[in-house]
Amino acid sequence: MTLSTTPSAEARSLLETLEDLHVAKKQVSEGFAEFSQAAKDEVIEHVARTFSPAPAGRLLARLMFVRSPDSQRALERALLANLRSDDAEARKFALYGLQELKYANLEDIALLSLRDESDAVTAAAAQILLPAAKSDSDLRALLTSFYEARRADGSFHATTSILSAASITARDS
Amino acid sequence: MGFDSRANAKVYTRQEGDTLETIAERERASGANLTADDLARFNFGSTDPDTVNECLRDELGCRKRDANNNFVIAADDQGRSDLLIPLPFQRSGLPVLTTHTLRVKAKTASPQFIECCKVDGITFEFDRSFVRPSVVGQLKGLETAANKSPEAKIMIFGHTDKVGSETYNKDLSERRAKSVFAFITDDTAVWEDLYNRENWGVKVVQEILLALGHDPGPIDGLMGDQTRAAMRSFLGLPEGAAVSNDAAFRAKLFKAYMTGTRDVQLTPDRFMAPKHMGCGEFNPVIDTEAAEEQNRRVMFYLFHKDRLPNLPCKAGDIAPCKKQMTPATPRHFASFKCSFYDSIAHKCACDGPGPTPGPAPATIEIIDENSAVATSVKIGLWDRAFDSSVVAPGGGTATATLRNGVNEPDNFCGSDSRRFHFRVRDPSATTATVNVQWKTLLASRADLDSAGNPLTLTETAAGSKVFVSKGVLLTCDLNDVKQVTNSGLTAPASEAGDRGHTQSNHRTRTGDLEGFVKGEYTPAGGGARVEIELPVFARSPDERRRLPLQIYVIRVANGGAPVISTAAGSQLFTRDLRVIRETYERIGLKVETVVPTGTPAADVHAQDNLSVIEIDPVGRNAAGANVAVANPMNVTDPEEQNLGRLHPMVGRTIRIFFVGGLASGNGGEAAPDVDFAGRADQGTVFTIQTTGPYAAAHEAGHVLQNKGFAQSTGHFVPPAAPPNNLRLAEFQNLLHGQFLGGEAVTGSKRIWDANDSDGVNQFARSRASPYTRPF
Repeated sequence: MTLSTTPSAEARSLLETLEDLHVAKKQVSEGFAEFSQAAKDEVIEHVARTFSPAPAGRLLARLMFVRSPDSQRALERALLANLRSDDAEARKFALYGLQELKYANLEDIALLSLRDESDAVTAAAAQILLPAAKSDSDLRALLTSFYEARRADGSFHATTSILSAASITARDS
Repeated sequence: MGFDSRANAKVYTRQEGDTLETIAERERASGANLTADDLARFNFGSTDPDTVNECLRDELGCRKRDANNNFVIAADDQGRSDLLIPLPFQRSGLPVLTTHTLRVKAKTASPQFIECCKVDGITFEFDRSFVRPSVVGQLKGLETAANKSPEAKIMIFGHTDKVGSETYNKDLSERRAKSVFAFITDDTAVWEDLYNRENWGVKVVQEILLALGHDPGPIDGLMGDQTRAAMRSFLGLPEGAAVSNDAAFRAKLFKAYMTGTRDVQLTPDRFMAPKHMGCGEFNPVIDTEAAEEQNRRVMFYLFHKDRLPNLPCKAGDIAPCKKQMTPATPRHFASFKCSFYDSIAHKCACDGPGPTPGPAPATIEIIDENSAVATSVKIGLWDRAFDSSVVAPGGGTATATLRNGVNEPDNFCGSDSRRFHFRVRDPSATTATVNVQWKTLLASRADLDSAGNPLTLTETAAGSKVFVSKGVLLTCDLNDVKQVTNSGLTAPASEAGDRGHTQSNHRTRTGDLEGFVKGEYTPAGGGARVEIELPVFARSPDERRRLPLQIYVIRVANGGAPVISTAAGSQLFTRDLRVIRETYERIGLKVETVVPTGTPAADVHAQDNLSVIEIDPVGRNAAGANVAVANPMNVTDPEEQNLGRLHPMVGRTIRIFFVGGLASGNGGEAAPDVDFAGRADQGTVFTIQTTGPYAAAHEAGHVLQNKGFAQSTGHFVPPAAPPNNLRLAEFQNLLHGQFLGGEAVTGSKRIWDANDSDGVNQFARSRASPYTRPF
């Protein structure tokens, strides 16, 4: 695929749509069907090549609805590049995106995210790690430690609830 | 002494300055044995001074007075009869030594004045003759008085203030009297004529619709959706039926208004000719050139049918009025220029000084933003509060400045559409200001917010004895009520400048939708304290409506904990639900929560009478099968639909689902802005706590305002030219597309009562939403 440095007019229009604060639910469910796949691939490539401005979380979330096999690698790159974004929503959607793409080293990345200050991000990380923790005692111990450290902190309510629902609770409980 | 019959009496020739005494004196000088009382008894059937004066006025047309306020005769008086001077009884030719019985036909007089009633100026808008709904109590008083005295005939006198020319005001006063007569006699044709002559407009139609129990939304004179809905409701037409404010519609409307609960059961034959008259500006209660409301009134006088006064008045002509304005002669009430009116009014207890002259008692009332006496108050909208919001170049935080200037137009309290003022009339006051204690009450009448008394009222004009406060506001959230307010007072007032919530002359109070506002004033001259207490939002018909919500919080897993805490004291209760309640209380909607029948008690969590329901992450697909929500922290579109199906609305109730996140990247979603339209799950909100304090209220706003994505993405965009100098700040609006940070006065929480750029009136649309219920 030949990529341009500057997105085409259609791609720019799509990018603006994806960056909007609100998009119509119908557009999302139909995968932004009013735009060509070429424009969609172009936007993903553009985001993957752009360091600044950092994409908002909602843009990363919506890239998932316009992806194609051709843009898979670029999308992975875009998501990976924003795992340390200043925007917690971007970090969260980067994790969920990589999970959906079945990224190979996803658990390693989720581990990196466990010390995030956002409950939404650590919740996503915990959800990614929990399947493996069933058979990995070290990982289970780590998540238990996380639970013990955060359970008294109401700002990690979602993550501790997710762990608790998976029977990962304090060792003294 | 016996006098011969009236047929044999001689006719008096008028002489300037004569009284009955001077006439009798002249007759006695001519050898007659005649006194003033003889003249009075012979002509008027009474020696009662009041009756004699009335007869001098009515029979001889007297208008000038002596120093004792008794009528004297003028050479050019034009009465309806002559004064007769009796001659001694003399009969010749009667047989002697026979007993003769002489039957003397004595003239007797019934009291002329029976009773009076008044329609206060508050029932008339400036320069209008439309009779406002508040007239009902006063006209019922007339009906009672007339029924009590079947021998009485009624005469209506209209009055104006002094703004405008004498001729114009004569006509206006006649229109007011005529309008009231038409109201009493159910004459809709007269009102249609006045409607067109005075350009009453849609505002009058709205006032009547509201009075008849069909809520037209704001009384703004605009023919909007809610007004048309109220017209349909009045006519009993289905939703969407065409309605027009034409003469045929108004005939029905006026008839219903005149004959409904306000009906006055008096027929035209209960009135004396000419039934109604206008005095123009010539008989003010308060002698001022200002637009004094007390001078705008309509008076009813009940006279004995056998002693009807002889009106010197003529419709459409002030010449007879001028003739009654006899210079340098006294009056019972100095401000009444018309001698005739003064003489009938001095027996009246409700016009002029009344039978026991003395200082009027102090009064206190609340007036609205149009200076009309209010019967209820509303929560402030802050719709002139903010300078235009802007976004910093290149994006970023929107900013707004709260207008808190010393002048009313520059002050968020003094310019708000829902501001109100306290007004005191105290004839005993001798200072330029007086103080009122004001506070708000709960429904139980317990104090709600009584901080920061007193409030200073300033005299409207030197010597007027009328005092009015600066505009004050009710608020319903702590950030608003604690806002510093400029007192509006100027030096040397010690309280000029900014005032805190607990300081005197602070101008906001927390109001409760089920409570009241109260003002108390102690008259300067002593005497009992006077009070005013009005409900927050009108109660009859009830302006308040209910807004039922079903609130769900999804769990992270079946039987697990919810994605956000539902514990008492959690942010869900202390912030999110409180904000929803405050948001809609501003526009008279009381938020309530609904728990569907059969909901397990263990799933329900409550605080402050609001309940939320925890639900497992399970929905129901279109085939009717239960299906899991894969990730409650990242809910997809089909999962939203499934959750909606499994948890149907109870009646037409907005369902609010708190989820951990939305896969679409949206901060919240609601019908119809996310294209739920036409689907079974309309009335649904999906919200995320981390989006911000106003998120859930914002999404509910989409549902209430039924504003779709096609219209400015469902969000608020201010009109290019807001009406009435409103300042419809974009970022301070609840339905702005981008929330501002945390809770604040400048937060995105306001709902404006004016059309946005898409022609949607948020206030009216929300209140008229099918998701609201009568209170």
